[in-house]
Amino acid sequence: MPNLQTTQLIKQFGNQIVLDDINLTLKPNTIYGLLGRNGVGKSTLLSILANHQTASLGEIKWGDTVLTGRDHPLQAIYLMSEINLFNKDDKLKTITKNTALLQGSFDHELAEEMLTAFDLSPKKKLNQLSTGYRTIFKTIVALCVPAEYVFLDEPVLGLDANYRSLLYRYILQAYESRPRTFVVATHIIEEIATLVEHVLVLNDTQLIVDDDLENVLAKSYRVSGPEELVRKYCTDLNILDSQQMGTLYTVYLYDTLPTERIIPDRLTIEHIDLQETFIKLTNKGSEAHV
Amino acid sequence: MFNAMMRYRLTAIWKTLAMVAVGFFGGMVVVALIFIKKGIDFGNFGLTIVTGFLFLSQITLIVQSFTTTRKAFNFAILNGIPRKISFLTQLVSLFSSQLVTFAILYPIAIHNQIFAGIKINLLDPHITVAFILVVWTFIAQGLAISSFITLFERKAWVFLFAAWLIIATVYERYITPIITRMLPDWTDYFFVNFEQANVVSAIKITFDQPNFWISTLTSIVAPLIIAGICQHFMQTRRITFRLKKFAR
Repeated sequence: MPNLQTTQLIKQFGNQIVLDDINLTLKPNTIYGLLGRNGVGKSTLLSILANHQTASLGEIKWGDTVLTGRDHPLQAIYLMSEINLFNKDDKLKTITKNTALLQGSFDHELAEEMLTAFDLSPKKKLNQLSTGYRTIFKTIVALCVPAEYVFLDEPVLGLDANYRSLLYRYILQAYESRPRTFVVATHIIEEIATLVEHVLVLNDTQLIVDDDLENVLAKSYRVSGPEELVRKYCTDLNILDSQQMGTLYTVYLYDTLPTERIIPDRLTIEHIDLQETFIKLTNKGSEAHV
Repeated sequence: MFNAMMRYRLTAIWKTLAMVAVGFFGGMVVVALIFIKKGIDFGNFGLTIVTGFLFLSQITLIVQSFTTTRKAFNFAILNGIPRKISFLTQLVSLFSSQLVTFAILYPIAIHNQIFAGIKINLLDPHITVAFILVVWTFIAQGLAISSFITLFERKAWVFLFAAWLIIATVYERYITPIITRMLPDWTDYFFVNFEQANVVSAIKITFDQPNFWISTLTSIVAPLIIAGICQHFMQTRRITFRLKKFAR
């Protein structure tokens, strides 16, 4: 399966630039986490990649082929988004039947298993479902289609903690039974940290992080101690944020620590989790320059 | 892909037709039950039902030409069906359904002429063709309008529709009289004198006019071309980038 690649992708609505110079390569059989604050263009990016919207400028490549907009590999990409493209008056079983018809194949077994697990009756109509159940149903369909690139835009929107946990389990199960690429755009960061392999962070129209989760976490540090020592140790390193609490000075870094620098005894250096890294990376007014 | 999309569209069309039929026949049965004591001619009543459903089915198909664009297009895109196939299946499914419903219901319905006292031969091919052409014209117009609206997306169509209404009114009121005055021969050339001719003769006279065929075929083919172009460019960067600005 070819890579899906964007080069200098720009999306503009009127005078407002939503996405600016997005260079990104999605590889086969990888689970990506697409993170970003509200309104940074996560959904727009996914819908451009899935050909539901068009880019204002830039290039999208499918392997070595530059896509023109009318030759998009539509069958290979499936976008589940908050926008409802199903007929609201249809029963769930009708929607799955129609999806199976148009997609050519459909994992009915998984769909049935998931519908039962989430206590969803296939005889119900889509417009009878709550927001959470609608999201669940759309995610079920997305996991059961044969597409090689599946984009899940807010797959846990309106879901309680139990269902979120169950849904993550099913995403992993679907991935294990048939490896493919998932791009999960969400705000519940601490929960998808166990799910994703690669992290993409959008901030202020730009892609500021495009790295494996392992590398992102390896570069995320909290350094605390007396201000003078912390400042000296962090010289020339990429500082995201700093805090002063009494005599304790704390700095958040996103960088590789220099091995040649000796760590003073009074300094504490520890890794921070993905959510904290994300907050520090995307906080307005912090010193984030990745 | 074509067959799958065709099956999807035909299922949707015929499901709607079936629902309309059930609703219509149900309504007629209720009417029959109400008037049963007053004496009802069931032969006449049955044929009235068929004639009524003939017209209702054609109207349903015309309505479907408006309603089967955006939702089906979106569902097709979601499921990886190219827009060309989506449009072709829309054309084939609507026009073939029209022909099938017409072929089934029309021969039964024309028996009404005996009861209604109509002396025109409704089986005359001229009338049949005229009927089909009228429905096709409406279907084609419906496809063009709905595709055009879908191309612009969101609420831009309200603005466009208002603009079109103003332009059409201004054209009709001010431009047409000027053109008519400037080219008086036009009206003479297009004038057809039906005199005392009956419906069939009038249609025959009309069919003999080359201008009729030019205008009729234009009113069917041109909207289909417009619909095709609109659907071809839906969600592609060449046109929507500029036009979507209106939609914001």
